[in-house]
Amino acid sequence: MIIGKLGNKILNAILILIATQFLITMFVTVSDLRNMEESTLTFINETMQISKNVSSSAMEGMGKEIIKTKAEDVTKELEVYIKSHPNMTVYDLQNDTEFNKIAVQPVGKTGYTAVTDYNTLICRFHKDPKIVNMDLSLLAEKLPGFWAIMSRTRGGITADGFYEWIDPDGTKRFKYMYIAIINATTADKVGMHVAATTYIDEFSLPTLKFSEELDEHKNIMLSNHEKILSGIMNDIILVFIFTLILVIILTVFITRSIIKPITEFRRDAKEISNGNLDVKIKVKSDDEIGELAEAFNQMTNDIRKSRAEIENYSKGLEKRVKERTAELDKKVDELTNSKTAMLNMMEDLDNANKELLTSQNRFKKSFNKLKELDVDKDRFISIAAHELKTPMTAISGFAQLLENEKIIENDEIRNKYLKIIETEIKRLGKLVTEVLDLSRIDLGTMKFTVEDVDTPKNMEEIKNEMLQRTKEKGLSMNFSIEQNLPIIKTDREKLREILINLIDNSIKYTKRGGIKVDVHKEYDHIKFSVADTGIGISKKYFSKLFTRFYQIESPFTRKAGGTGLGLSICKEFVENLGGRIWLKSKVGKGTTFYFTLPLKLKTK
Amino acid sequence: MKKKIMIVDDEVNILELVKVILEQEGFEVIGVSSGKECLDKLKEVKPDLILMDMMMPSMSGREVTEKIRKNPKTKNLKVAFLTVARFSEVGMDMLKDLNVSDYITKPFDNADLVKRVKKLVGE
Repeated sequence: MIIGKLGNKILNAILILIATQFLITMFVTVSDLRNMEESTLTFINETMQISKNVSSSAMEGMGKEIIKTKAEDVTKELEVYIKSHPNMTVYDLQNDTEFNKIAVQPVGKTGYTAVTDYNTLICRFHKDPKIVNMDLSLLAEKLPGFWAIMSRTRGGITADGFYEWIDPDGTKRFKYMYIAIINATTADKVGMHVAATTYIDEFSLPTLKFSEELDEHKNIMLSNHEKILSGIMNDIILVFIFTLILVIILTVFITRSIIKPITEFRRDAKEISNGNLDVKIKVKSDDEIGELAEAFNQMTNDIRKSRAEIENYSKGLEKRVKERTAELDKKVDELTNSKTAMLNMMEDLDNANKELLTSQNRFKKSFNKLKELDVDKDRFISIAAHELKTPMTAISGFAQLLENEKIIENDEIRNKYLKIIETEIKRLGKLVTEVLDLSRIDLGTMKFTVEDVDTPKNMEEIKNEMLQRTKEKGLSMNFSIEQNLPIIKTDREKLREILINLIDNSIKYTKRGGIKVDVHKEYDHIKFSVADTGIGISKKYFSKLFTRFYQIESPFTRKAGGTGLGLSICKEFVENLGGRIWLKSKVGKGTTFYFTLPLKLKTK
Repeated sequence: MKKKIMIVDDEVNILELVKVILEQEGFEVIGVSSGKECLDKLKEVKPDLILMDMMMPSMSGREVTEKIRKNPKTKNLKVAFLTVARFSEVGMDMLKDLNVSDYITKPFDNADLVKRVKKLVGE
């Protein structure tokens, strides 16, 4: 926290300023310097170029002069020779060593003079023997420049000029040719001229060296400039760094002097904000921060005063509030009491309502049950009616028939009809017994007589009774009674009824096979079972089987007669005698009914 | 030619009774003990009257009559109910819908049965 956040902000701003300054300066300076150098360079280049041009043209001119002079000199010499030998023809002169020496003379470093007939333009004297006596027009294609100059001399006219020349190595160079006319003709009236040629750059070569030297000099100057320039750059950078350090130090000092009072201000202000209103800001600096501190202290003071006022005021209020609250409490108590009373009343109403609902439900249930019973009753009545009327029909019908003399006298028929009447009466009797049993059970007047029952003996009697029935239907009958069965204390008559009912049912619902009755002791009771190989009963009917009037089919489709009371009566008897009754069955295979009777009767 | 009467009743003794009563009067009686037997028999014979018991296992008398009416070969055969059920249990509508000609309750008076049968077959 040397300079604080504020200080950092200021420092950053200043640094940015300086950096920008420096960059701009650097940029401007460098570009100015570069401009200056460029113009200097341009000037130097131009000067060099001018001097190069001047010197080269001077040299060129000089060269041309030399060539021209040479041509004219040779011309003069040849003129003298020809005039002093008037009888020599060209041919003669060609064979003349002396003339040859004069005619072909060096020009410059590499050139030579040559003499040509200016009418035919056939070269007569040349350094290269191949060219001697050659028609120069043949060179027109190869050296167009050369021919242009040469052709101008036809008829003895002076000419001069530059022409391009391609060296054997392929370099393009320029040659200068001056042609001077010889003012004398040979004995055979041939007029000739002298052509002096040489490479023109022979003369301008020195200027090349001169310009090369100039270039070198220029480069030296340039590299010096570079050094100076980088020197300037370094100086700028050094100045910048120095300035930067200075600025940073100054900034730090200045901002610290600003931050310190601010920090103190903040510390004190924090204390005040924590609640300690007696604290004063101790900053007394001679600037805006000091003024701020004064104002702040003033404000704190004011706050303290108003706080005290508020406290007093609130104390007064408290007192008043307490008084009022006491009054209100009293009122609330009164209200609560009446509310409680009302709640109690509502609770009572609620309870009454609930009771009403419960009794309503019970009523509904009993009503539904009654309706069910009504339906059951109707069904029972129609079944009972059928079970009653059918035997009666047979009895009445056959009895009427028996009034006929013919029938009475026929023993066979008479006995048959009487038998039928007997059977039907028995059937009626069974129905009556069942209904009576049921009503007795319902009325609670069913009497159970407990006595010692000799089970095997009773079973024997029952067996004999049922044997006939099974024989009639072609079924087998089998009794299996455990040896030494103990005497049971139970109602003999009821036991008989139960067994007969179960066996009867089995016979009714069995088409083939047989009935098996089993009796044996199990712990504290005797277990009876009646098993058949009949049509079986589906599991879904098990629970309803023992209910009253229950038959598996509807009244209009009775399976095999009966009122549906049998099993329910059996169940009542068994349970009243302290036992249990149940069954096992498989559709298509057969049914087995089981029931138990305790050795010692426990009545309900 | 003897009139043919078919009696449909699951009770063997009733079949026997009706057979004896009507045979005495010169009718030919065909006894069947179930709806199925009845419909099968109707493929072979065409009785002048069918006495139908209503309360039978498997197929009720009503069902059998419905089936008889549905079959175009048998739909015009005369049918009379012979049953323990009271008339109120059966209802006029059922009789009309099934085109049942008469309704005789059990138990019956033998002579009364004969009289009504003769009337039904047109004697």
